[in-house]
Amino acid sequence: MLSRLAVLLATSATLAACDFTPTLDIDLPEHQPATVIHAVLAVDSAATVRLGVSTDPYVLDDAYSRPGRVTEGTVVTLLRDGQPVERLAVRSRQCEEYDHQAGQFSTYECGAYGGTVPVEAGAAYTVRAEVPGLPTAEGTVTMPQRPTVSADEIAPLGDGRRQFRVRVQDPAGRGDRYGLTLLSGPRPQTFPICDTTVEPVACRDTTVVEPRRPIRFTSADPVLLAAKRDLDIDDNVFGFASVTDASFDGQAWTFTVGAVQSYWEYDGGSQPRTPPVIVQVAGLSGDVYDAYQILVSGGQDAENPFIEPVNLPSNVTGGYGLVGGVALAEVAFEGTGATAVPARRR
Amino acid sequence: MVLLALLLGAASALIGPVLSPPAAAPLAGVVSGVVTDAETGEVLIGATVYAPALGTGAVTNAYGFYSLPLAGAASGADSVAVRVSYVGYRPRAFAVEAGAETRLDVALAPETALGEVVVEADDGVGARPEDSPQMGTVALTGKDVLGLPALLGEADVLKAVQLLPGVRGGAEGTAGLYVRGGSPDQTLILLDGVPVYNSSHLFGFLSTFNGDAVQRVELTKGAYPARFGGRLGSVLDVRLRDGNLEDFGGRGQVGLLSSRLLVEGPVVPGKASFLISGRRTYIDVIAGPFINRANRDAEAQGDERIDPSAYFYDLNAKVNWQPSDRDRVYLSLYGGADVFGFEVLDEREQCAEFGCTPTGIDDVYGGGLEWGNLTGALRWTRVLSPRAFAAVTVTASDYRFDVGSNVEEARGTPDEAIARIRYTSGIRDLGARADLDLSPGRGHTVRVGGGATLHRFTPGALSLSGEIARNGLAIDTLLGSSRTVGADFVAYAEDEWRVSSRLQLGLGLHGAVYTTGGYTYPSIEPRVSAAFQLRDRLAVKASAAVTQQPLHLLTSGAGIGLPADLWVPADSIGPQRGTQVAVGLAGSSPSGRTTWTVEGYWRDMRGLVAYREGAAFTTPFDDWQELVVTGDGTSRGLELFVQHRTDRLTAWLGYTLAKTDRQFDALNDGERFPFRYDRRHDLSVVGLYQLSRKFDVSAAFVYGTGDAVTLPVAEYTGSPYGYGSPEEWLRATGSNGYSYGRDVTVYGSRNGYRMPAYVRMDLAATWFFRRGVRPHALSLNVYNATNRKNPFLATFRNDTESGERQLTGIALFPVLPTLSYQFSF
Repeated sequence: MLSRLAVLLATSATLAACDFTPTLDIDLPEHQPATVIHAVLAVDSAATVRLGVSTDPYVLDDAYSRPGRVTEGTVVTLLRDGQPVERLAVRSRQCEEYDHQAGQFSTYECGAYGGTVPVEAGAAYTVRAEVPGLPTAEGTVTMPQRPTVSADEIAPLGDGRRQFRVRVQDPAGRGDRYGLTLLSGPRPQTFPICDTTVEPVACRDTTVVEPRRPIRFTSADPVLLAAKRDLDIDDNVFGFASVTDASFDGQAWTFTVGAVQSYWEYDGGSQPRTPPVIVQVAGLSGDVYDAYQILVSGGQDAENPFIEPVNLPSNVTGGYGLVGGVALAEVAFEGTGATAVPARRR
Repeated sequence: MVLLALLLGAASALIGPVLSPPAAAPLAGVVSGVVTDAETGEVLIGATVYAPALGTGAVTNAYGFYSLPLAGAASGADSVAVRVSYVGYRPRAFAVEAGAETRLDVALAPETALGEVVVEADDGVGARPEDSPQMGTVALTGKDVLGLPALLGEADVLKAVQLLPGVRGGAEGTAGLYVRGGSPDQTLILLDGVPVYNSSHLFGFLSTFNGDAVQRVELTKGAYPARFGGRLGSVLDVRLRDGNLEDFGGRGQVGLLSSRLLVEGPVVPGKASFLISGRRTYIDVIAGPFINRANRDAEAQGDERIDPSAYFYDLNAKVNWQPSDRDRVYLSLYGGADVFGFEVLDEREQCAEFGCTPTGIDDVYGGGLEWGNLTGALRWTRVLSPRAFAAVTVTASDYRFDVGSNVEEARGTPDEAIARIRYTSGIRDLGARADLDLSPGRGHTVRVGGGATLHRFTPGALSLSGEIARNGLAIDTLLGSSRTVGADFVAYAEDEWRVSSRLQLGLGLHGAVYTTGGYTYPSIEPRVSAAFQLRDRLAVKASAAVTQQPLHLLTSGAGIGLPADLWVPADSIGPQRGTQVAVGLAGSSPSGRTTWTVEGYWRDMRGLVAYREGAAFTTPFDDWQELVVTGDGTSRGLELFVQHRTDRLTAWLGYTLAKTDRQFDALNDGERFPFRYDRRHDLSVVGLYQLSRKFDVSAAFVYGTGDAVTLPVAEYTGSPYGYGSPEEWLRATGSNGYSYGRDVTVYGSRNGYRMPAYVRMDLAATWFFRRGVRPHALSLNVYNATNRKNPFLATFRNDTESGERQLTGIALFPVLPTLSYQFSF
């Protein structure tokens, strides 16, 4: 019996010792480059489109990896309900990128394509891109309606945070999707510029206006609470919430938000002043909402064993990317403090 | 229904004379009784009672009862020789009166005291695979499970079952069961007759079954008997031990990951017994002082305090009472849970131009997840007559899964604001059933029964609540799917019929009506199997089954058996329906020590559900029906199982050649794609050998085709979405594109690529010794002895020299030796 056991164990050990596949040697298809369309059309604004070319995921320095690369002879056309509206003009400049193989920086022409005709809510727009050497790509979006939004400022929280009661009136049965952002600014900054070449040193105040930027917000509203994500872009942490109207279809969605705003100046060392606050509600096209959900939920993360990798929704045929649509509505509140900055209302 | 009525009518025609045989037409003699362990008094399930002279036999049922009609005894013979045997026990022989109804309770003595490791097989009718029409059935004893090599030394029922042909686990190291291409929900897992909805601990790496408490595990892969229902593919019937009726004692194990303890003994010697076994991990207990120390240091430096929690436990309890020699009452309970969470306490600071100072105001945030099962069964069994045995069972089970997070700003101050998110899912059952086993003679063994189960589903309820103390604001909202109530009613009849000495049939009909949320789904599910003896010790077998499953399991992502997989009812979506056909050969060696089966099968699965692309259980606002898509699946394969058993060696080889795929109109552009755990080749070789009375060794080798995976085929940069707010998106598309946007990966065909083959070799050795009169043991388990790096998932590694991004795998378990100590008292 021992001999049988020895044979069994020896056979098993031999099988186990054989390394059938020591590396992940998987046959993959050859990559075929294709045009990528990045377009977010905004209601009442002219179209802007950026193009790219897909790259081979298994090559580090693919020649097409240069973002915003402009290819000579490219034609980008905006169509409404299938009829041409205008040809978008390229607005290019020189970009720089490090070439790993060459070991040095190189420059290339990069840029976006822009139009002049404002985009209208509810219409279907197509962006068509014809890049020499690549298949023609085009995508179509039906523009969302601008949300009906009202807001009031209410008593601040105990720590001084400004609070706003916001009301979004939702039309029934449309399956609308919304995105909420709070923005702060613009923020004028005044600082002295001194000429040290003269005696005495001569200084004069110069004011620079920083553009408005998204900020964090808090809320105890359950819908908002579940939908809100804090994003960190270039060290600016801000909140964004995207919701469907599933829980308030045909009704008003009313909620309260608190702005987490940085105090930018002290008035005599005691009273802080803050820039204006803008409550911005965006109507989102369906693909944009879905793409955002996938990106923030990690659905694009191939290394997450808990989520099946998912392709971003794409309405582009003949290539990749997405033609999306947004319709922005805003309510602005002026800044606080002795030298409150007036808000620009949209 | 007509077919069911006919079958039940036929059954009642058989039952009538069994319960009250007419005096004018006396049946032949019968011997019946209960087979027990002579040392503990526990019943033995699957013991063989064989009458060699008649060529007939019977196998004890789940309660140790058998009934063997003695029809065909030679005219004028006064007695018939009966042999009672059970693997690992000394067989016994008796002579019983040929024409009488004889009650013969048999106590079998174990052949060896300690370290006996055997696999179910025996030398009587019913034990050899060619002697039963049932196909695809394999049984393991608790001792088998304890003797096999184990991950981290934790003997695991489900991992032992994964070593059988036609069965594979999910991702590396996990305890999910994928039987003949089905997903885990398609296997009905019963613990003492009660469905267990989540059988995993530790995110799937261990099963909930404590090997010490398990008496027997039986897996039926194909056309399972009509007494079971509600699942599409297979049945795993786990039976717990009853507890020692004679002596008080216990045993336990101290392991690397957890420890377990079992205590059992008589309440009334010979009449009533109890068994309690428990298991718990203690990483949290061991790590507690270190975490407290680290938190003290963190707080001293002004950093936040973090309190994690991570453990699982399970507890089995069973009471067995014999009020008479005809009656038994069992109470069986199970409870187990996994808890993982954390809480962070952060003290606010007041910052000015020249630094920050603590404010004494704390913000607290935390989160975690918890899942667990509670099951209970109260069962009364009664020997109605020598030919009839009845069991009445009331069952309850509760499976729950909670994941949540909470934020408490300015805790304990007038400005306190609390927000909680809690996602709850679960299923609660309350059921009752009655089963009747009959041996009317004339080659028939009949089972009839029925029952009803009330289900309460919480498919996925998102509870959001908020409180702001200063404003007196309180909000409590429930989103997503709320509770749903459903019920199913079942009736079955099955007959194992020895038509002739060469032909056996297994005929069954399972009728069910399932109703929930205004939807009703009736089903008639015929189950047919047959065995025809081609010659001595060789039979050709065939089986077919129609099944319906009124429940779905929504599986997150890679389907690695996460507790976040949600059980949902088949309301508007409809049930899963399936058909399975199998044909094969079965045989054994003249000694009966070697048995083998070859089975080919084909499965058709309809009404399968999967999350639509981009959706997951965390998608909070929609009902689950809006998150799923439906599709179909097929699976076909060929299985070879060879098993060899001697007094000291038990070994088996299982090989499966299979192909499994899925088709969903809304996934993969409607194209058919491989099931993630489609495994073309699957080989298991297992050996357990008793070197001496003091030393056991075992080994298991597994080879399998790599998992099907989805891989990238293209990439692009600069997608504006997900990068910031809508204003940022607009800015990004209008810019030159130099620095804006997210990188996006484009994935190829779903599961269109293959990971490298899975290869693993496990070894174990156990040394038995005595301290005083009590046996103890020391076990060394080596998981993945060859240190094979089986990829758990694929990732990229940049090779700047070659300019390529290499696809590499991340392996979870290198070679893992584990020492564990078992004791008894």
